[in-house]
Amino acid sequence: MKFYINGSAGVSPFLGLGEEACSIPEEGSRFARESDYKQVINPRQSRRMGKLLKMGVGSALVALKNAGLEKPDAVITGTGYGCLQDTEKFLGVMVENEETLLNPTAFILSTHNTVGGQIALFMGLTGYNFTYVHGAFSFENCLVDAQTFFHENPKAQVLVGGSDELTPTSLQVLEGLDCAPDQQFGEGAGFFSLSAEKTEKSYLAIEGYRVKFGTTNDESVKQMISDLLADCDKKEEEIDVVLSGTDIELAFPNAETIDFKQYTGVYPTAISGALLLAEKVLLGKASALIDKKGVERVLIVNTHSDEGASCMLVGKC
Amino acid sequence: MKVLISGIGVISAIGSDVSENLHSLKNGESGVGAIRFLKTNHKLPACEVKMTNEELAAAIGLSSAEGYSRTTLLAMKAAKEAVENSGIATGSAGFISANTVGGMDRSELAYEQVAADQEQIDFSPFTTHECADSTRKVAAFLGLKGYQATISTACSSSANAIILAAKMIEQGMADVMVAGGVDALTKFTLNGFNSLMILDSEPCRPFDDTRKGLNLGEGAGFVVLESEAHLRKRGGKALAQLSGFANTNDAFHQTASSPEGEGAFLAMTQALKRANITPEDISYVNVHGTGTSNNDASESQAMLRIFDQNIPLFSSTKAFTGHTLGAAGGIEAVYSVMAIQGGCVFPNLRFKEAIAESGLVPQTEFKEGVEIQHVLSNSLGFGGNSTSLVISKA
Repeated sequence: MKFYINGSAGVSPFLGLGEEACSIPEEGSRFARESDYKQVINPRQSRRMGKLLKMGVGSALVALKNAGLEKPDAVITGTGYGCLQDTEKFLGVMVENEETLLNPTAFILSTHNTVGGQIALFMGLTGYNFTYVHGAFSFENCLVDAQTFFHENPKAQVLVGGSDELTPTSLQVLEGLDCAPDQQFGEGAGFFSLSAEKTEKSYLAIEGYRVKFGTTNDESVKQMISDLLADCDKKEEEIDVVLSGTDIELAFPNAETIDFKQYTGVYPTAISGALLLAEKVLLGKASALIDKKGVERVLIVNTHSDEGASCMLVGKC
Repeated sequence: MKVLISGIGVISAIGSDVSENLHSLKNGESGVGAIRFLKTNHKLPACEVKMTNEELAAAIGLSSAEGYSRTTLLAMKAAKEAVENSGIATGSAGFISANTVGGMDRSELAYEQVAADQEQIDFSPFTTHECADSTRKVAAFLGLKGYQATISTACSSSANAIILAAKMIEQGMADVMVAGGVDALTKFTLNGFNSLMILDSEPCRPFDDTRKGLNLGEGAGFVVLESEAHLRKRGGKALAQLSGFANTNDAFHQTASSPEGEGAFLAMTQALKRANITPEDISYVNVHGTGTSNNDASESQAMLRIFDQNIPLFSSTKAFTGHTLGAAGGIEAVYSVMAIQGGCVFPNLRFKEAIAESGLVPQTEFKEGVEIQHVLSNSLGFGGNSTSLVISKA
C-alpha cells in the first residue's frame, strides 16, 4: 500500500528536532542530538519525562504541526526497548531500597505505550492508539497496522512513529552482549503523519513496503526487493539511493548504496531514522552526509539476524 | 468476512489448561494465595501459576527451561494448547502476541549484578528482555511462519493483539492467526503496582463497595482466529465468532481512568456497532474489573451509559486469576468462548455490596443453562488504552 507523507519530524544522531538539514553525527557519540523540546512541550511537563518520552512525544507533536494536523485519527507507535531510563530508575531504587520506599512515577512512565498514551493525552485524542514492540520490526508493525486502518478509513490521517533510547546501562548491556560488533549503537525517534490519499500537504510517499519474518538469506532478501519493485511498478534502474541496514550486498545500476546505521546508529527502530534520512535525501537536505543530487527514489532495506527482513521504497509524489 | 475462533488455550493461577480453568471457574476455586515462586520481600497475595519453570518446560516437551523467560514458557504452553485445540496446520499461520514487561523476570535478577557494579556480569539473561523475545520463540516453537507482531498497550495488550489479527483476516492479509498475550509475575510489576498503592493486601473484591485494590496474576491466553473460508476448507470447527471490537483512548490521565469512563464507553459503543448489535443483545459482560477503586467506579459509569438500567449478567474473573496485565485480554477472551460453549456465566467472587454510586450487582454464583449469544469483554489499561471485544456464538 502507498502512504503519503504529510509531515514528519525526528531526533537522531544526524538530526536535531525541527532541523531542516542533516549534519554529521558527532565523533564517537551515537546519542541523539540535543534538541529544544520547549518548542512543543512546556518545561513543567517535560521535567518528568525521560529521554524516550521527550524524543517520541516531541517528534510526534512537531510532525503533526508540520502536517498542519490537530487531531490524527490514529496514533501507532513502535519501540523495541521502551522507556529504558524510567525502567532502570525504578529497578535501581527497587534493588537499592530492597523493595521499600518506591516512588511510582518511574514505574508509571516505564510502560511501553507511554509515548502513544502521552500523545493522546497532550492532544485529547480518543481514537485508535496502538504500540508495537516487535524488536527490529516494531516500526514495520506500525506500517502494517496503518495499512489495516486505512483499509477501513480511507480518508484517515494516521500518525506513525518509532523511538528507542540508549542509556548508559543499556549501552553497557548491549556491549556486554556484543550485539553489534563493529557498529555503534544509537537512538532516536522518527514520526510521520500519513494518509492513504494524496492531500495538499503530501510531499513524499512511501510507495510500498514488504516485511517477512524468520530466517532470511541473500536470495530471499533480493526476492523480497524484486517483489516490492513489482508491487510499485518500478525498475531497479529507478532506484537512486539505497539506505542499507543489512550485510547483504545490494547493487543497483544507478544507485549509491549507503549504510544508514553509520548515521542513525544501531537500535531496534532505526528504520524510522532511515526513513527520516531518506526524506532528507529526497528533499536535498542531506548533502552533509550523501553527495548524490537530484534523488527521486530511495530504497531502504533492514535485515536482522534470523528475525526477519523488510524493505521500503520512498519517492517524490 | 467472518472471523471465527477455532481454538483456545489458557494458563493461569487457576489451571494449566482450558479444562482446569473451567473446573476452577465452575467451582469457585480462586487462584489467589501467598507468593511461592517469585523472590520478593512483600507478603502480598498474588495469583501465580502453580508450576515452576522446569515443570512448564517439561509440560511442553522442552528438555530444560534454561535460557527461557517464564513469560515465554507460559506463552508456549497456552499457544500450543490453542493450536492443538484448533487442529490447524501451523505453516502459514501468523502470530500476534502481547505482553507488558517481556522477559523482566530474568532481567530484574541480572540487573542486580549491574546495580552492584560487579566485575564479572553475566549479561545473557538480558537477551530475553525484549517484549518480542517470547513472540519469536513461540512462533519458532510452534512453526508459525506467517506474519508476526508484538503489542504492548499495558493491560489491554492482548485484546489488541486479537484486534490486529482479526483486521488482517477480514482484509484478506492472512487466513489464520494465533493471537493473545502473556505476562509473568515479576518483582518489577509487583513493586510498581505496590508503589501506586493499588494492591489489595487481601484477596481482591472486584466491583464491591469495599474493594481495596487488585491482586497481580500471571498467565497466558491465546485464540486461533480463522477466516470462514479457511475454516470450511480444512473442515475445522468454529467455537465462536469474533464479531466486533474497538480500541479507543480515555485521554484523561496516564494511569487513572476518567470518572465517566469515556474510553471504555467509546470502546464498548464502537465494538457493539461493529458487531451490528444493540446493548440488549449482550448476554454477558466479562468486565475488566480489576478491583481498584478507580477502575471499577469508572467502568461502572461506562456500563450505565451503555446499558442504562438493563445491565446484562456481568462478572470480573480477576478474583480468580488476579490481574494478569498483558495476558488479561487473551485469558478473558478464552473465558468468553468458554461461556458461550458451556452456556454459563462465571461468578464474581467475594462480592458483597454494590458500589454506592452505581448500584451494579455482578453475577456472584456460577450460572449454567444460559443462552449466551454475545459476550462483551473489556480490557482497559495505562495510557488510557481501552479495548472491547464482542465474542459471539458462531
